[in-house]
Amino acid sequence: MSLSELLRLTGASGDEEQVRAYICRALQATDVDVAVDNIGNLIATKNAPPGTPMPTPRIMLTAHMDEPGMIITSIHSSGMLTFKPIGALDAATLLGSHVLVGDKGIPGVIGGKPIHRLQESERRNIPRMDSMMIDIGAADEKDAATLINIGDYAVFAPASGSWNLAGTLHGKALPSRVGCAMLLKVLALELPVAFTAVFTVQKEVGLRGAQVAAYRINPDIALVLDAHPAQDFPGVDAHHQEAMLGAGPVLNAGDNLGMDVPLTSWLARVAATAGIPVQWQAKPQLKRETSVMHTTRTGTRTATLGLPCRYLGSPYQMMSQSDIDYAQQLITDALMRLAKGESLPC
Amino acid sequence: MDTWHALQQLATTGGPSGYESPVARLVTQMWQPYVDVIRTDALGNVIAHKQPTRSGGIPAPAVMLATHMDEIGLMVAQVEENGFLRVVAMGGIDLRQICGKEVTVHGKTAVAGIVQAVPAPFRDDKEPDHIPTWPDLFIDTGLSTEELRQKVQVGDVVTFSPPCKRLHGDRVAGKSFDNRACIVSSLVCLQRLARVSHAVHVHAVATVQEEVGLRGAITSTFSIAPQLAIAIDVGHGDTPGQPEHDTITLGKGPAISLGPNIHRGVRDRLIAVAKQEQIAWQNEILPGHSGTDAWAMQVSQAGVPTAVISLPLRYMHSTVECVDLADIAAIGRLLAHFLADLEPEEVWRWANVSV
Amino acid sequence: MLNLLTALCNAWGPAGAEQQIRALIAGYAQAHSTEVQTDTLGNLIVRQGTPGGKRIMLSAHMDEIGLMVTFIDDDGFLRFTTVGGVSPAVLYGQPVRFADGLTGVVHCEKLNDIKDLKIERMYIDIGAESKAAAEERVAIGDMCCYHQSLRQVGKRVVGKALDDRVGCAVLLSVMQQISQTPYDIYYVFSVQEEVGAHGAKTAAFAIEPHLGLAVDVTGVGDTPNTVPLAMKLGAGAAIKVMDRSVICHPKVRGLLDSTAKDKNIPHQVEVLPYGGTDAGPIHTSRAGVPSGAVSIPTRYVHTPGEMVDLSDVQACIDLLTAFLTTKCSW
Repeated sequence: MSLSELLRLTGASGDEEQVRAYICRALQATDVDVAVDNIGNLIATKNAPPGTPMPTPRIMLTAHMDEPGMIITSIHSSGMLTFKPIGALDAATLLGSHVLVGDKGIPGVIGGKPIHRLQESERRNIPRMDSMMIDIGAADEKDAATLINIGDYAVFAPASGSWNLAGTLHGKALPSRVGCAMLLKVLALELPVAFTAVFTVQKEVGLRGAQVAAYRINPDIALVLDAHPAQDFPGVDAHHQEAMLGAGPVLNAGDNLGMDVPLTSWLARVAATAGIPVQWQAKPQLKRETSVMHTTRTGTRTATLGLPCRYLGSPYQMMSQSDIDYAQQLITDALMRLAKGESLPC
Repeated sequence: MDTWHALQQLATTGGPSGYESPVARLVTQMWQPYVDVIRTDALGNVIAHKQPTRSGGIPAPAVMLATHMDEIGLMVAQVEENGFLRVVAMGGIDLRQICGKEVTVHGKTAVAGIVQAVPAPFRDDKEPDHIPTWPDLFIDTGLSTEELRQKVQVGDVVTFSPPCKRLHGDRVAGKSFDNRACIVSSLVCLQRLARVSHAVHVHAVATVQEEVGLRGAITSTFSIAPQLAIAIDVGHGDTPGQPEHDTITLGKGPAISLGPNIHRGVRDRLIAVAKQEQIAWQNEILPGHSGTDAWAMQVSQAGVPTAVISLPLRYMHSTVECVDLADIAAIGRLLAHFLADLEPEEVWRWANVSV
Repeated sequence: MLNLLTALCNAWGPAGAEQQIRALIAGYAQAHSTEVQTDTLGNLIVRQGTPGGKRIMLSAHMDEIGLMVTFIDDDGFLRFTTVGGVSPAVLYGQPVRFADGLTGVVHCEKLNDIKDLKIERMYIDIGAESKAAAEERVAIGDMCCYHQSLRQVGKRVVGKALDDRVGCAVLLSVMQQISQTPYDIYYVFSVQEEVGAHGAKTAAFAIEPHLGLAVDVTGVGDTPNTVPLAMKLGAGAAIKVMDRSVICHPKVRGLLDSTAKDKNIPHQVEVLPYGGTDAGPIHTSRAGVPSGAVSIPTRYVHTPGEMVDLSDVQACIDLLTAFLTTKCSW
């Protein structure tokens, strides 16, 4: 298993098969029980080793497998493809991007009218997504139809080449695949605690997978691994920067759709004990899996470990390796505490 | 009962969200002869159950067909002097289209009225190009203050009362074809199922309160806990000025939708049945929220495989919605063949947790 | 009533941090019931009546709107975000209070045009002279609420958080009134209503009520040049027909209406084109719950000067008490 392989996979919401199959393979030779539910969540159950002394709360960890993408709505007579967005795509970054279409990953580009032909108003405005098409180089509609079906999904092409900053990751689908890689690492550990790791589907179109998985598993505590928007770039006032790359995982007191400040504060204390830096933020209205899980059935304690990420929804997102390493350590420490029967503050 | 006759009856009956009972009574009458049990639940959903009529060897799974029966409407917010009523919208009303339309106010007795709006110069924004909305909308009943107060009170619902007309060929126009037309499709399906055998439990549901947030689908799916659920709803028909790839075509049969809300196995099966029975069908791409009951059904409890079948309809949420009667019948046929051919093993496979 | 209402409204408890207000309400409730519990999300659930009877869930939310600190700048000023529906125009210049009693005042950067008044340009001044001084008292994520005491003005009261502490007061009073009831009543003092009625959702799932009633405030149309709403102060308990979260079950609405008529309790009809209550998540819980709401007409909702008429509060108590002690079939 490697993160770089996960990042190369395509998996728009509703089309997570490649990612799911990859993770299934990665778990094949392990002691983890693997199941797939009817919406496509991959549910990995890790049992506690025999002789584990005390019962612990039912713990669920999630990371989502899907990324924002596109779905092909028609093949134009020119052989170009019209599409609609799936999830939160940054329209401003679409023009001039490389994409991969369908299961076979047919390469294409999104081009547009050359600047020379633009009206003054067109130069100033972000072009509408419904005016863009994907060009796969097909001669005409018939030619394109040999490669593409209507309803095929498309995603940004993976980043190529290396990055000039050691310790920084970049590319598409980082929020999803980094979380998946982290969950796989947790599953590989021998911890004296049972937990269920869910690789969820359809987060980007409305937190769909997490909702049904939480209903099925009915956890006492659910921890989510996801990106947290970082805006530590020029032109943004300090109080709007949200989070910084490299300053540690984000604990968000403002996850007010899944608000559980006591649990989040407990995670901060776990981090402090281990010398793990965290960024304490208060950003509400983030679309987090916690927001559907905390009101599942009779209620669930939930918190998110946020990984600072710049340029969400674009083909070149950025994360810091050190944030990921710290988050990995934090989640392990938290599980160890729960294994020892530490009770959570209310 | 033929499709046109059934549609006329359903579409001319008033039943805005939360006040569907007149429609519920009609649906119950229409479906009852073809099912084993029919009931109305706590929120008013009509749930018809038809037992399997052949054995599939293993326990029969439950398949739910959902068609919503509510329509968009208005509600009286204030009874004013001289026969006027202030109203608020219930559901996604196209406010560009309602001024000058005839309505029925469902008071102690039915009261006719016309919708109008405060003229632009007297509205807060004073913008003649802006569409009037609450609180600037009102109904003129022409009644005296006293007469109106006797007949109408705050909280009474209002429905549109346009004619339901046959156009050229199989095309028809009227209100509330969204989604009463699909209730007729379910009727066609049930009529056909009565003559063939099937190995699954069929639960045909006429849901309430779809237009205000899929509320009836949320509760009825919870209580039925089906292994498979299909929403039958209307889709945007071909209209000038709308891109062809973003609409479905009237007269070309059911649209079998695809997108994250749709289980691929179920969709493939529906397409296979359409091909086998030579029923024309078309694609409809739904990139996220399908705008149908299926969006709620898919995430009921621990998840339900769902599909969406769309009836092409023009001018959605207007008083002149247009559909093709042949499409209504074709959806009924498709569903009946799909359900008759369905093997329990297949449904359990879609529904169950599997490796 | 005035004492109870004053204690409840003056207490502190924004959405997600209801510990203080919960403890206060629990104290009152324990006098009337031995079954007082707190669930996972923090809802306070009080049970009263006849086990085995039809379960009725009454829900009044105990959380209030507030602010949450997002950033502390070098000079000790606090930037913030809103918790629930807070208007910048109402907030401007208002005193606020934190959980530990720390107070501050909300102000704004220099504006060239009052139209530029946005939450992003506002800050809280707690009188700290530096970042370090501020950090000794507050942390990012801390919340504060309007700092305002309840006052009586004529037959009416004015204060913060009447939304929905007045509903909590109604529930506690009904609890006190009822000695015999055929029903198995669950009084829910719910959390996180102001950010999406989260508490009522999980409570309804747990209770599985046969009937649900929200008790919350509603808007009115009886002030100068305002929206044409039929509700007004002093005209009695408002029986809800519809808001954005629920279309009340016609039977529930009818039962409340006939109870009010039978007992000569002042009442009015409520159609609210905006807003929502706990009745939203209750009525779509599990297989569906016939639900309605009894509302207290309130002026200036979500300001530190919310106003209700005490006679309306009494009407709500009378209506609910009559409803819950009369056996009727539905």
